[in-house]
Amino acid sequence: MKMLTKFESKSTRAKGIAFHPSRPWVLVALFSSTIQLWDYRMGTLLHRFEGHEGPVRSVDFHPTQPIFASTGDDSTIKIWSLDTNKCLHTFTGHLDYVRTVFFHNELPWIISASDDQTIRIWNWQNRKEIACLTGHNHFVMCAQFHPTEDLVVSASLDETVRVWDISGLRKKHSAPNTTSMEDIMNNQQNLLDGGFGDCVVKFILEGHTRGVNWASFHPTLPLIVSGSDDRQVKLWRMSATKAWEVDTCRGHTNNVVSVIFHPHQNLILSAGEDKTLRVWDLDKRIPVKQFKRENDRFWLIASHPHINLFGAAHDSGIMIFKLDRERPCSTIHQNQLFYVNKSKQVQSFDYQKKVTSLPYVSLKGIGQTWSAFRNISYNPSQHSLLVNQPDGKFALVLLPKQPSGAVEPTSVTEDNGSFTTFVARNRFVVYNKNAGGIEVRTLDNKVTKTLKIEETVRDIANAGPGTVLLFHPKSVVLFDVQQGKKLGEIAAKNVKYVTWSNDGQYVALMSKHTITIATKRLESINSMHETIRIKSAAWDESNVLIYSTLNHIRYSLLNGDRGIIKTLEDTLYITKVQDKFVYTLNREGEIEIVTIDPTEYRFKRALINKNFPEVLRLIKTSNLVGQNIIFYLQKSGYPEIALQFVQDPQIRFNLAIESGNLETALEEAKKIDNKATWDRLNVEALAQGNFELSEMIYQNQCSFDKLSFLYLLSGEISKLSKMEDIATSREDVPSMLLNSIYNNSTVSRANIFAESGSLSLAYAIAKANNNEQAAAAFLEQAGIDEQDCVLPDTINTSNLIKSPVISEPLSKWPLRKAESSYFEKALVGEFDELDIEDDQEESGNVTSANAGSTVQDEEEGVLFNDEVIEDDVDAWDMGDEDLIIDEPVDKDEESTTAPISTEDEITETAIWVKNSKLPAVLAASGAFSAAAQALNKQVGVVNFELLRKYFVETYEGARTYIATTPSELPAIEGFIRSDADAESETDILPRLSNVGIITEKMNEGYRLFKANKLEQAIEVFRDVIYRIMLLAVNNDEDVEIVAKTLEKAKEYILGLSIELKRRSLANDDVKRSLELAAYFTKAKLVPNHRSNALQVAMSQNFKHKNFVQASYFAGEFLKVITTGPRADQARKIKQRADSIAHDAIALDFDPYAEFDICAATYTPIYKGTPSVADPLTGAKYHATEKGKIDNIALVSIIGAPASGLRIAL
Amino acid sequence: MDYFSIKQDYYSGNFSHVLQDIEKQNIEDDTLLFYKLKTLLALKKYELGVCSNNKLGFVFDLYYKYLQSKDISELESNIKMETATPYEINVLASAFAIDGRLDESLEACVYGIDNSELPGVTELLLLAIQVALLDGQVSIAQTMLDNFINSQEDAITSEDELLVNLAESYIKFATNQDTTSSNFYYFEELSQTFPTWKTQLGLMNLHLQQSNIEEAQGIVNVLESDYYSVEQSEAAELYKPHFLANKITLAILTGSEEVDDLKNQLEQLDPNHPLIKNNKRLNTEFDEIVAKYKV
Repeated sequence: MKMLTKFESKSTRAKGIAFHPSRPWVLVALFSSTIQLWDYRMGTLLHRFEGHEGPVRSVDFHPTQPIFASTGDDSTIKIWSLDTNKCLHTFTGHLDYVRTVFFHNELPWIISASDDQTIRIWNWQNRKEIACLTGHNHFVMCAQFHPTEDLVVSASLDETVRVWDISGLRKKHSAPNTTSMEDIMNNQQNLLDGGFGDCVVKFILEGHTRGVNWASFHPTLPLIVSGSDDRQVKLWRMSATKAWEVDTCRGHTNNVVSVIFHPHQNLILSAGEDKTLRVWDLDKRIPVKQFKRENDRFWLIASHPHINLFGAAHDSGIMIFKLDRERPCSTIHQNQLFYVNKSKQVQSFDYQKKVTSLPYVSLKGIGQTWSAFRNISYNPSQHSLLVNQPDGKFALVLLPKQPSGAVEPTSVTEDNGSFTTFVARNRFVVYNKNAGGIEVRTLDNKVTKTLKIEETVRDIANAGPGTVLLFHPKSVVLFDVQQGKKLGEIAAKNVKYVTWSNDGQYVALMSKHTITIATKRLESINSMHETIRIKSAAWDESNVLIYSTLNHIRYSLLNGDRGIIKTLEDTLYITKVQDKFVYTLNREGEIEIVTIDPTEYRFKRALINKNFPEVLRLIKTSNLVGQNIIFYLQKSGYPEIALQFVQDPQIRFNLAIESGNLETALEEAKKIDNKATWDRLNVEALAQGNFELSEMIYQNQCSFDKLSFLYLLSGEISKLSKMEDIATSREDVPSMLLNSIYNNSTVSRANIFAESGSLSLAYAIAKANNNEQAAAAFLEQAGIDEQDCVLPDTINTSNLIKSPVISEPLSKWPLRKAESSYFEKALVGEFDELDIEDDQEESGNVTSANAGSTVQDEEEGVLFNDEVIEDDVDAWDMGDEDLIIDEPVDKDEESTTAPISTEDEITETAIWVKNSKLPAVLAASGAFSAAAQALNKQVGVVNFELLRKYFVETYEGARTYIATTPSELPAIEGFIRSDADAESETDILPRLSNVGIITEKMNEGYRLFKANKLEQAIEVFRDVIYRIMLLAVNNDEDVEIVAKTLEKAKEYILGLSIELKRRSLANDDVKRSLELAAYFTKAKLVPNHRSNALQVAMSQNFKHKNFVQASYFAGEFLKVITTGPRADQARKIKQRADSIAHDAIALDFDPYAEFDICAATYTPIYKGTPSVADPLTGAKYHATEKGKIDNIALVSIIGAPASGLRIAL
Repeated sequence: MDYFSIKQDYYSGNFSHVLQDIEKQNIEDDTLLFYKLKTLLALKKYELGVCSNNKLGFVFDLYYKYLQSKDISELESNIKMETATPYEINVLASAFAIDGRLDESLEACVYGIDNSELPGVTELLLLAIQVALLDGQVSIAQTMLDNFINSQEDAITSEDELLVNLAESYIKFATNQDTTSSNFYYFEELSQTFPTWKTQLGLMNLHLQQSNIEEAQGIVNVLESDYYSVEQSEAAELYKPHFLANKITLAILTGSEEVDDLKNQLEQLDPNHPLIKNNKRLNTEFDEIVAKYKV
């Protein structure tokens, strides 16, 4: 059993707490005189109620009304309103401290217990005291109503617990006529008599040896529990006529101050001044668990009336907690959910049939009685469950084939170890905390493998066959159990649960307040925080994550968009989501199927995927409304879609403008009809070059000047001239002037000035435009002589107004393209193929939406592949034969006709070839002719006979054959992949030789060289080259190694061939012999090996009196070998040779010149001499050798056109 | 009647135990006879007329003759599909498969599975799946298995489960599913529980599929030890071709020079082994390539 703390408050001493029946509120009575109201779910202090003088000792919410009661040392009882947060009434009457106050479950009564040795019952509605129960002869510490019967239980420092019968009181107060004077008198008299007759002591329970602090009724059984200063908890039973002590629970080391029954389980909970809360088994009266605080004495324990929560008041505040997890363990296998119900029985639920099975077994015998299991893991192969217990133990339980009831399991294997989960049909993993590692175990619980894990592991979850997720405190690791290696890691703190998407592509990692969504390789996609605790999650078919918090079902799309789907009354644990059904388990361990409306997230998903037909369908068939969706659409850049949801003209106008929909904007502007709207519409109209609309707006707005300017711009000359007339009729001088300028009507402009009293300007205009007559008239009118007029020097008649170059006025001049979106087109039915009235089932449409995207993907894929193919064509033309790559592989099988067509069968080899067209892959696939063609094109190979073995072994090395049953049948062929774990189809390739084998062979060649087995060494170096041709490597480093190895092999073959040639010469051919010895030294062997060549050249030259050459080779030798007898000999030779410094035979060898050795003739190819190279080995040849077979590897044509060997994947 | 241990021994290649188990039974039925005769064939202890008064025994005699002569006609003409029991169809379909008539073999199996409620249907399923795999029809094999499991729902008995698991492991082997996890564990578990030639070779195949050279070499060493090669000499002989084929693959993986020698051995022992047949086909094809490019 575990105490799961949900909330803690810090304050001065808390004496009382009470849970609100429906809201997540708790009242706290403080010794300091304050009453606090907390929201324990959010952790916020909602209000402080001040009013009591001195300590508050008890508080209680009314079960239904928005009021609560409080009491304390000021001897009053106060009733408070939760609506106004004010005290509604104060009851006075008690003569000393009041210890407790409680409401009656149905009657308008409250009960109080006081140090004045009385218990009083009050009617809070008519604010009357209705009974005073006397009898205790010491402080009454606690008094409570029975939840259903007319009984009261009280506890007193007089060492007794008393049970009172208050049925008389109910009778009296529920009688209709209680208002007669006589009744009132009787009531008062009765009160004075201490309620005699109405409230009678039924039982006096004696047994405690010190004062009793608390007594509680059992919610359903005729039991009472009491706690006392004698440090004991006593259990009492009562019948109709008597009551007796059942048993005593001993363990508290100080006063027991409060004790209650667990509302749903057979447990007793007690709080003591010994700073402990203790849990007792009601049936066995033995301690189950205790929780201790270091410094705080407990003063009260209370339970929530409905949900599984407890609260305890102590010296420095309160704590809200629950006892043990309420999450029912469950696990899914295909269409079945296996879960453990409230009674610890294993049941299954069939998602398809929606049927719950009978229990398979009862797990009551496993683990501790009162401890819930952590989780379970199901093995379909063995039909068994792994049950993880909270105390670091697990059980492997065999389930019966058919569920027949809660029987005892036939086979249970229990052992120490945590977080067990199946990783294969016959393997499970166990975390061994002490050893700090995970163990892989067989179904017999035998350890087959131990893997050390350095970091702390908090839990383990299955992650597909052979892999698990390890929950570390700050990260989650994807771990391959078989290979013992980490496959991925993601930073995520305190992850507690995971859920995999149906296709296994995504995983949601849940901690208390965060969900992290990642790919199957744990690459982060997004992470989100929830204020309310996250409880569970499941993915729907389209990879939308549906998750539950304490009070909501919510969704999250892969892009992080999320929202609320439903509010929950009670917490539910989602196990699966299918279409609009959310399958959950409630805290009672029962299946609850919640129907949700998936429209919102499907709509968003369709939008994100740009699946407009689906968007449209959802708009047409559902009632998506609300500001949220509009805001979302606007934010996501789909104002045109948002338009479909809005009625409000202003919002519609705004959205229409945003989406450039002038038609709708105009429609809405007419409704709104204010200047700002018209102006905004006009801006958009102008931006789109819609002059007609702009004209209309200017007309409506009487913006004459702007209208004139519009006409000027669009070349509407006739309308422009009308504007001038209108201005005149409006007598708007500035406008008249403006129009005269726009119209270039100098006469009327001059007249305007004249009429406006500026004859000088009128004159100037007339004069400037050579209208002498008018000019004279103005002068005359002004009474000025022409000579007195001084006009500016620059005045001229040039006309600044250009005539329009177009004959017809412009009606449109689009500046911004307002193209209808796909969506708008669809709306107006532009797409014939779009079936807007699609009435398929919702799920069907989701599928079709997916199918749509798949088609798109495929199209892209095809395009991409084309490009790839084109690339390949550039590299080496495979010709038409390339198309029948798979033919050879299936040749045998084609001779027999299968009864069912296998055209669609994608073979392993087809995947290989699809993924790579390297010669090695082609050979492994059996496409020998394609592989041969590739090698021919790449490195000019023609002599394939020598490669036969390598081709065949490449093919055979990627296959293995398993015996059939019966064994006389042919063996079944299996494939060996380069990566047995390849997850993605694109990673699937055949096993091929790797760099390791090349290196090994090179070393073998070196060994043979050292052993002077030169022919064999050459064979081995050739073997290396042949292997290289059928190699596939996947990194640059290996490519480089291979290139170097090929070069090295060539140099050795060349050098050794020269040496073998030298050895084969007749003794008298000294010159050639010495030349070959010299050429041998030019081969780029490893220094130690080259020393052999140098030594040969040195001694041969010395021997034949070629001292200059001998000296040179000795010098070269000494650069490599500096000590030892060989070095000494070289020094002597050099010394001697240098002293003579003469060559007896002139050699065709200039040690200081740059040259290559022709690999055919073994003669130097000096710089500038025509030469050719072999495309495979790179060996150099005289030009005359072109077209012959290369002497190094013996397979390629010297000088053949080639694209170069490709071995990189 | 519980055939669990008989089937378990038979399918894990523990043949001597099968006969012992069958002898312990007080009754005789077709299932027991089927496994008895199959085991005798496997142990090369089959004798004509061992049970020829029984129809199934007679069919086995014909099958035995076919294995010697490779002439299927007598067997074929003596089995009428309409009246044959699943076990009889199994024998005929096996012969078809060995004869290379994979389509007819598969058709026979499917007919038997679809039209019979008698014992032996699961055995037919296992055979059908193997035949489909031999024919490269992986998805058909998978579908057949899925359909069978779904049709049986929870009614699959533990003895049938043995066969279903084996069939599943063949499919996984042929399709490289769960090679490093559950399929590997399946064979590892089998080889630990029933250390026989068959199970060891099964595990070796899974190691080879993972390129686990050392582990595969380890199995070779084990199989060449006295326990397997001397004490289980009958099985050693039966599985020798399979062992050689796996050794060839291993030799190629290690770059060993023994490959050709091993191939010669296999060719002499079982010229019809797929590895040898493939090898011959590839070499023929390669001849053409050599000729094509020869200058």
